[in-house]
Amino acid sequence: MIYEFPDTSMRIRQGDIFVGLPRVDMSLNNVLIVSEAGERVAKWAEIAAKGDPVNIIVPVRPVAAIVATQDCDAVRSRDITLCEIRSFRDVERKSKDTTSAKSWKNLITQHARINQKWFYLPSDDRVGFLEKMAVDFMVTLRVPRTELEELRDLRKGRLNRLADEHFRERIGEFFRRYPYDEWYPLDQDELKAYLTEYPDTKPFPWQEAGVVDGGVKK
Amino acid sequence: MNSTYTVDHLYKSQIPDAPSTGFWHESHAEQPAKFLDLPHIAKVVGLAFSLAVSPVTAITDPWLVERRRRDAVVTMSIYQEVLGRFISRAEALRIARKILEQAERERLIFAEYEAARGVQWENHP
Repeated sequence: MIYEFPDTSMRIRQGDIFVGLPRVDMSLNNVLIVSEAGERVAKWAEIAAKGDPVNIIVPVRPVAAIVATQDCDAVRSRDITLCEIRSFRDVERKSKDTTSAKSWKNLITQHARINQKWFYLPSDDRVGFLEKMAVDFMVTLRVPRTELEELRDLRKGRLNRLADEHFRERIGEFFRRYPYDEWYPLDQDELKAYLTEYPDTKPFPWQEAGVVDGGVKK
Repeated sequence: MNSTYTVDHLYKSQIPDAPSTGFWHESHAEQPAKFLDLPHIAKVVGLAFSLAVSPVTAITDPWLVERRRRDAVVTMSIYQEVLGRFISRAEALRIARKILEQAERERLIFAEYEAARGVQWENHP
């Protein structure tokens, strides 16, 4: 499919796929502090107010992940950032009941039209992907570069040239997006149609009934 | 594959046989060398001068603010030596497990929510 299989001697690059990297989840309400006196549970706000470093217990589990750090940083920087890879059905819940090839085609090709939070990875036994997978741009991991280099046998594959170019643009596009209220330029008829679908929408002042261009009421 | 480099245009313009993509560099130690050109020095001096003659109250000293903030933290820590309640190791591990499960569950809830409110593809050609 869209993968290559670099030798373990090859340096780490953007688009490299690792299987078995640690994903840490921590709660800000239940921070498990370890000290000589024993274990304590505290809120992060208390630790932050105190300002001192503490040792804590965090849950961690191995996950698949793809290198997001760009190539020049992947050679020199202290850390490598990766995005988690999970089952496509898990990342994109719209696909949970998808079965037909036509529906899959519609979902997978959305990339060209919509800035999605995921990047599609087809299944491939050689990488260890037994089903359709997706990179979840929302979940990032950070690991020390030199130590990851020592674990290059966990690298199961790499995106090929075409897929890597696409991945590079997609990840850039995802983190470049900005939030805005999509209904702001709708005229009153369009807004009315929008409101039927999203009734909680608050119109902007220029979209109120009776307001025309320039903010002058008729 | 990605072969782009961070381009420093100042370096590029100063060195005649610089590669077209410029030089990648990470060290801020080299930055002062760039300020040797006179127009830049004039700009910096101008800025320094304008700051020097401005009323003192117009400028917040970030170092002073930072020091005061740190002092406040130190004062506070005297009264907060013990954080939270003590628990057993077994309870700590149980809570850790719960945090992991909750994170998974909440992520799924958000994914469901986003899927429900996102673009409805059945309405599109």
